[in-house]
Amino acid sequence: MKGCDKLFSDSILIYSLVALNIVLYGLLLFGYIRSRIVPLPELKSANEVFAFLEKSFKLTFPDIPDGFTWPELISRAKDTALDSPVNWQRIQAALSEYEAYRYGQESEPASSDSNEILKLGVLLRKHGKVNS
Amino acid sequence: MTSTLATTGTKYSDLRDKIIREVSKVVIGRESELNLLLICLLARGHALLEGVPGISKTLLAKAFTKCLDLKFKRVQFTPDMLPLDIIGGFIFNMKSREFEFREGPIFANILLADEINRAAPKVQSALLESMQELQVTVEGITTKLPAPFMVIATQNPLDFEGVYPLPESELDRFMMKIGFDYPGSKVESNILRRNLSDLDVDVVSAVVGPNDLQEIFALVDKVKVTDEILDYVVKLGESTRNDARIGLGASPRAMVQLLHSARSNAVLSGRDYVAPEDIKFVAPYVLSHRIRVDRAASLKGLVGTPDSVIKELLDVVKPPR
Repeated sequence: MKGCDKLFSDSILIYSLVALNIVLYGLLLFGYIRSRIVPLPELKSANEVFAFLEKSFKLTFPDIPDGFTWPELISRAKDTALDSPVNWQRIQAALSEYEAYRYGQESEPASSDSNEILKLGVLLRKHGKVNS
Repeated sequence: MTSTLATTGTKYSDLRDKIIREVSKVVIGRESELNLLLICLLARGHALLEGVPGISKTLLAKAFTKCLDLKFKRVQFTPDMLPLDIIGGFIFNMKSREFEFREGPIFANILLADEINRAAPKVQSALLESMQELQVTVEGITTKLPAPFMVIATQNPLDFEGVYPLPESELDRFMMKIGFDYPGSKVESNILRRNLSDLDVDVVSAVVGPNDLQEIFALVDKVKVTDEILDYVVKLGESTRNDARIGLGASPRAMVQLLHSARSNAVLSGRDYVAPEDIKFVAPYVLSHRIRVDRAASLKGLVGTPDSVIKELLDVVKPPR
């Protein structure tokens, strides 16, 4: 009877340790996923989105001269070790659409097309804070 | 008549790659210089190629013109040359007992003026009217040059023996000055390997015909330029005139040519609008040979080369974004 009680209490201990592990690993996973999801600011127009990116660049690289162009900035961002991966093809596509709108009199790109640009802006700011 | 581009199925934005591939059959490692030559041609400008002897300036110009199905003439400039040797002149015809105009080599679509700064200033000046107004006037009679007309001139650096510096007015007629540096070791080793067998420019075949060129010229003329881009170009021009390090700033003609070459670069990049990066890309080649750094500043060591000054100005002047 005594042996049965010991077995029972051991199982409770093991199960509670397993449950604790699950909770701990779950929290770790949740933290990791949360760190990978970049909260994006809500900006409506393409001009606002690119103004946000410009400000991010200026905050992250205070040494960039006034005469920079977008392709120069994007190329500099590519050489920067950012916290999260960026889809450069989408960035390039968004930049082409924006330039066609700004200089080619095309229609304004939809705000959803600019999410990757916003993500880049946020990541750059994060990178700038860490390295400052 | 079917155009060469249509038959080969080449898109205009692929034109650059097509020409580079063709020219690379004989010239190695000069892709960027070739790209600038093409920009110049499409912008209907003239190009000045500068570099020490033996770095394939003439070979590149010859191979480039072979890609274009156009009338090509080459003139080797020498100190004893006369303007008549280039533009032509009136010669007495014994049969008809009349003076007749005999066309000089300038009557071509592309004139390769080899070692232009070896000729005396009066010969260099003979090109002024033809380069700007696409015509020649001899004894009061004006004759139009064939279209398109492009001068590709080569010159040795000014510190070489037996050269006459080109006057500012002549330099201003060249849309771009394209500098040729020594090739890197890998490229040079490829050049040596290539020269182990016979090299013939004839292996280069025509990729673009006159009809195609007319179509592309029309496309270049339709490239959109916004007011913001125009303001940027104006600000750049003003910056060269207001900078204390510069004795002679860029002329309005220089800024017009800057805009034309930027449009041409936009077409070659597959766009129908000029973006600030087009201006920034062509500006050093269009502006650096037109400005003169201030002598006093230069003697005090306050200023570098015209190239470095232009690059600094491009960093300072804010483009539209």
